[in-house]
Amino acid sequence: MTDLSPIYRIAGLGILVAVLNIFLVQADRKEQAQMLSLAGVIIVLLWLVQMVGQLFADVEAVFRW
Amino acid sequence: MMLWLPFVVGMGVVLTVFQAHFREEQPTWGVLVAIAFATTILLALIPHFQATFQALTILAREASVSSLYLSPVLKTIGVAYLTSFGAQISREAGEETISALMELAGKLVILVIALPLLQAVLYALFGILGY
Repeated sequence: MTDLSPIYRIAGLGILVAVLNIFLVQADRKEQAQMLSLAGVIIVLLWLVQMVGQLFADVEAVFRW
Repeated sequence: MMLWLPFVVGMGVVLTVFQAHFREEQPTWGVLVAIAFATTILLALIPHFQATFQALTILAREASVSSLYLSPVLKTIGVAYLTSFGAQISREAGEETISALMELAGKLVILVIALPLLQAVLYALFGILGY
């Protein structure tokens, strides 16, 4: 069956970052809020780069004949 | 065996709703979710591709088609899938330039793959014409 755990993981991190972001904005710390969003995006991007790398390797293995 | 199809479609519909929200609020997360979905689905589809191509290869071998002719076709399909994966995601995020460059790179690679075939066709033509 399709392994959808990366999507759930990304959604979870997104919700966490959004909630913390709201807290920080309410506490008048816009700078930290922006840094937090950027950190979340970079973490997810690193996960995705690994996944895309695996995808490229798999495609290369399948379509090489 | 084909149970993943409704799963993929359902997940896609749900994520479409989320994307409609993300596009207004946080475009970065929208792009990340799109990449995650595309990569997950393609990774899940890879084994099925492999099975199909193995059947195709066996068929070609029984019909005694030379690998010189089948191999470029398979490679071209792979390059086209990868290129459209990247180009679609960039285009959806509004980066026309980046997606156009990705497609240019893919076209170049496909041209290089097709070069031996073109050469073979031209040599056959020259042979017929008697050069």
